[in-house]
Amino acid sequence: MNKRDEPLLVIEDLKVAFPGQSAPVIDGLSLTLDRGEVLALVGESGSGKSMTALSLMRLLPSGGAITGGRIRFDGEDVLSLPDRQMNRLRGGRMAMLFQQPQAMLDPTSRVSAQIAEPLRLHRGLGRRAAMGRVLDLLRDVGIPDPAVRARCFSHELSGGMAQRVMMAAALSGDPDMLIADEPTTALDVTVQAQILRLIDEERRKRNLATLLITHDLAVVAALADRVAVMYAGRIVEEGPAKAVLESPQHPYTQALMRCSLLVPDPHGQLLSIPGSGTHARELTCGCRFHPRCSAASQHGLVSRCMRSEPALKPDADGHVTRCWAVETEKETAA
Amino acid sequence: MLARLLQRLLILGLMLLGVSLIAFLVPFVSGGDPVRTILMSRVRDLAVDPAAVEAMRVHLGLDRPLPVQYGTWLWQALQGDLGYSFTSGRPVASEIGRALGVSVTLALTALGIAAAVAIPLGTLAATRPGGTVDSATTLMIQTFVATPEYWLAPMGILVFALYLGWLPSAGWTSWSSLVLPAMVLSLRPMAYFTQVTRATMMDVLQAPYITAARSRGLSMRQTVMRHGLRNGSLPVVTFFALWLAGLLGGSVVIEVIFAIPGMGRLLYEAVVNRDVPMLQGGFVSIVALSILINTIADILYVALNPAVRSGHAH
Ligand SMILES: Nc1ncnc2c1ncn2[C@@H]1O[C@H](COP(=O)(O)OP(=O)(O)OP(=O)(O)O)[C@@H](O)[C@H]1O
Ligand code: SF4
Ligand SMILES: [Mg+2]
Repeated sequence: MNKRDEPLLVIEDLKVAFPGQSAPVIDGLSLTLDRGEVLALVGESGSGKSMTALSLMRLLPSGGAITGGRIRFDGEDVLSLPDRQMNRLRGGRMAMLFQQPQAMLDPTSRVSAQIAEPLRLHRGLGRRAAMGRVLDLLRDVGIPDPAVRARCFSHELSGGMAQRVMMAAALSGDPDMLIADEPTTALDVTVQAQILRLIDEERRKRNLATLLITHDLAVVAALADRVAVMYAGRIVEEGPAKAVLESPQHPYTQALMRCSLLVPDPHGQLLSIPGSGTHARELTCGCRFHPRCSAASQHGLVSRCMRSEPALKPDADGHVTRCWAVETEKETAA
Repeated sequence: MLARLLQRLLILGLMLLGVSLIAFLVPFVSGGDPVRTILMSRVRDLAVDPAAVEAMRVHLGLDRPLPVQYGTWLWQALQGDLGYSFTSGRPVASEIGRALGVSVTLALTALGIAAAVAIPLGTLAATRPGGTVDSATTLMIQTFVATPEYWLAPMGILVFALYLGWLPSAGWTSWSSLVLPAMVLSLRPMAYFTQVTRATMMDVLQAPYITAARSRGLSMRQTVMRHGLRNGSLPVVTFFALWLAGLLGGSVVIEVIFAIPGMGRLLYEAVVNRDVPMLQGGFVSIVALSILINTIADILYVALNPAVRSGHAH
C-alpha cells in the first residue's frame, strides 16, 4: 500500500505476553489511526489498554514482550526498527502522557531539563535555545510564571501542573501522534476538564493523531472521532464515536454504557459490570465475555458462545463488532 | 533545612559528649586501679610499691573527685591534648593524627577504587539483568567476598612485588607503596558496592519516570546517566560512608602484613601494651570521625534529594 494512502498508525494482529502468564495480555489486536484523528480506547481495568499504548512505544515493562503482529507508523515497521531509530521516533514523532503525572517526572531533575530533552535530542537545539523554547512551551500549556515553574521539581507541582508539564515535554519534540493513557484519571475533577481541553486544543492546533485511553464515556463523546472498546486483550467493538455511543452493539459495550448512564459515579469512573474481567483472557476458547453475558442465553447462543470466538464483523458504516448475537441478528434481518 | 541542620549538630554534640565519657571511664572499668595499671606498664614485672602508687595518684590528680577529673580531661582533649603514650612517651594526639592520616588515605584510596569499579559495573548489570555482564558480576562478587585478605595480601606481594617487581612489598614510603594494600583492601567493599548499586539501579530503572524519559527518546544509556544515577546515588552514598567509618580504625591484617603505620597497628599495639591514653585517644578520635562522616553523608543525602531539601520527604 502507498505510504500516502495508509493511516499514520496501523496495528495488525498485535500479541503481547508476559512470561509465566498462561494467556497473552493482548491477543490479536488491530487498530488504525489517521493523521489528526482522535481514537478513544475504552475498557475496564486490566483489559490491556496501557499495554497496547506501551507496545506502540516499545516500552513494555520488563518481561513483557511483543510476540506477534505488526505495527507500522508512517510506513515504517516499528517492531523491526533498530534502537537508534526507535529512539528518534519516541518523543520526536510519537509522544505519551501517563496516568500519574507526578510519578512520571524525575524527582531529582528540574522540570525545564526534562521538557528540554526532546528539543535537544530531536530538534537539535543547543542548551540556551532549548531553554527559551521550554518557556514558550510552558506558556502554551497554560502554566503561569513559566520562568519560575521551569526551575521547579516534581514535588513542587500539583497533579494538574505536573500533567501540563508532561504535555509540554510531549509537545516539545513536535510529534505527529500523541498517546494519552488516562491523562486525567488521577487528577481532581475540576482539573480534569482543563487538562482535556488543553489536549484537545493542542492536538487541533498541531493536527496530532491522538490515541486517548479513558474510562469516561463523556470524554469519548466530547473528544473522540472513533472509539475502540477493549475486553480481555481484544477489540470487541470499534467504530465512529457517535455510532458506537448511540447504538452500542456488543453486550459488553452496552453494559459499559448502562453503568455510566444510570449510576453517576462521583469519580467520573465506571461502576463495574457484574462479574469480573480479570481472568477472562485465560479462557482458552469461546467468546471471552461469555461468563458475564446475558445476551448469549437470550439469543439461545450459549453453547456457540462457549465454544468458538466470534470475529470482528463490520456493518455498513465501518462499525465493527465481535459478537455472535449481533451477527445472527444481522443475518436474520438480511 | 536550617532547623534540620541545627538539630543534627545538637545530636552530634551530645553523642560526642557521651563518647568522651565512655572513653574517660575506660581505665576505671577495664582493670581496677588506673594508677597501678600505669605503674605496672612502666615497671613491668616488679611488684609495685604502695607509696609510689599514692605519690603517682596525687601527681596525676587522680585523688580529685571523678567529675573534676573528667572536666579537666575533657577540657584538655578539646584543646587537642590527649595525654602521653605510656609506651613511647610521645603525645597521643600527634601519634593518632599521623596514624589516622595513613589509615584514611588507605581507606579512601581503597573505597575510591571500589566505587570506580562498582558503580559502572553494578549499573551495567542492572540494565540487563541475567545478561553476560550481570552473570560475570555475580561471579566476581561471590569470589571477592569469599577471598580472605590474609591470603590475598601475601599473594599480591608474591606476584606484584617479588615476581614482577612492579611494586614495593611493604612499608609506607611512596605512592607506589599505597597501591598494593589499597587494591587488596578494595576488593571486599567493591563486591558489596556492586551488589548495592545493582539492586538500587534495578529498582530505579523500574520507576515510572524512567519509562517517561525513554518515551521522550532518550537511549537507555542517556536515561541512566541523566535520571538513573542520581536517583540511585542515595543508598550508595550511605553505604560508602558506612564503609569509610568502618575502615577508619584501620585494617589490622593489611597494616601488619604490609607494615603500614596506620590506626590498626597503632591500636593493636596499644592493646597489647595496655597503653591506656592511646586507647582512649584512639577511641574518641575514631568515633568522632565516624560521626562526622555520617553527618557529611546525611548532608549529601539532603543535597542530592530536592524533595527532602525543601521538606517534602515522606
Ligand atoms: N509488569 C507486568 N507484569 C506482568 N503482567 C502485567 C504487567 N503489567 C500489566 N500486566 C498484565 O497486563 C494486563 C493488562 O494491563 P494494562 O495495564 O494494559 O490494563 P489497562 O487496561 O491499562 O488497565 P487500567 O485501566 O487499570 O490502566 C493486566 O491484566 C496485567 O495482568
Ligand atoms: S459472542 Fe456470545 S457471549 Fe460473546 S458477547 Fe456475544 S452473545 Fe455474549
Ligand atoms: Mg492502564
